[in-house]
Amino acid sequence: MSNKAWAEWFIARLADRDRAASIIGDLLESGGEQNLVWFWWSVLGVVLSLVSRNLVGFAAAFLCAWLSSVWLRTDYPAHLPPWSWTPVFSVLSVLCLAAPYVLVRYGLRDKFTQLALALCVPAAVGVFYWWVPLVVLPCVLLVLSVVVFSSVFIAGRKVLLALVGALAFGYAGIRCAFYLAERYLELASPSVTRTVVVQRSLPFLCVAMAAAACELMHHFLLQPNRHLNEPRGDSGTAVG
Amino acid sequence: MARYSSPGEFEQIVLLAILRLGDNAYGVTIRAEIAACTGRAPAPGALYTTLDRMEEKGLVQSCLGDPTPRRGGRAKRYIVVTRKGRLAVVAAQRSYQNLLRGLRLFGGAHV
Repeated sequence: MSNKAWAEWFIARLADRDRAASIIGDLLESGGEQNLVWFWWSVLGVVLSLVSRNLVGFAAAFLCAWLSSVWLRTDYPAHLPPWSWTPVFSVLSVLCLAAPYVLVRYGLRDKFTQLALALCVPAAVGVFYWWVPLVVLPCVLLVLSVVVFSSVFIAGRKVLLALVGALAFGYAGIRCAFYLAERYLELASPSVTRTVVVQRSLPFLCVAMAAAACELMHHFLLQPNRHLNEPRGDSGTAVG
Repeated sequence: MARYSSPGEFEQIVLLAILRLGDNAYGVTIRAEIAACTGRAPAPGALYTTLDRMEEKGLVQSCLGDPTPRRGGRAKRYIVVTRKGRLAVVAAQRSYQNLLRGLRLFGGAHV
């Protein structure tokens, strides 16, 4: 594979193939054929620009998860909820990972982000203060009204479906990661280092699963028209 | 009054460069136009992510041109500003003009 083909393959992992090809074509036309250092430096810049929001979003989600875990370990044990609340906790934890990620990744104007935050904030407050009825009741009402309001409009239903899908995929991915980690530790020869490594990597995997689920659902359900239009001749007229 | 998604400063620069280029706006020419008009060429990465973001916002549209040998057989991605994009850039520029109006920046003379 040539330099150009490697660069195109690399960028195509982050953008669609047509976009990757046009970016590499632009770099070649700008002198990338003659100056390899400039070419690869530009490819690196493009790659960093394409993944910067994902990386910052990942860091934000991870930070949120870490702060929540610190708070859960220190203040929360005094008010542990009943065992029956576990499924609510599990779904909420995926939502709490997804909300900061999509906030950074897609911005506050994005409907998916707005819905994730509108559900995450009251749900988190309601679950964390489950023993205070005056807090729980308004939170439950707020969550229900957000869901009902979203279901009224077609666009809202689509966003709701995408979020529910992201939560389902994220939850399934996290359960899968935990299962595989347990199986690995059972099958591998016992080692303290290995156990610590697996335990430390699990939070990263959880955030990655939640982020991947959001990316997947946002890409397939909320960006169906995001593809390049048909080719036109160089002398063709402008579209739009 | 209609609400337009207000473009950022760099987005406005890119939109204006695309408008100046007309039918021949793609990555290379947009960069060159910005460099010629502002004195500094944007990084390719910044330009492509801005174009993608503006496309998501509906400010621009893109379509593929024909592959050319000079580009290693790769097609150009032509960009055109949509009506929404034109309205947004005009609204943003009008705001700047309104803010500038009446200011005495250089002694007594109005700008």
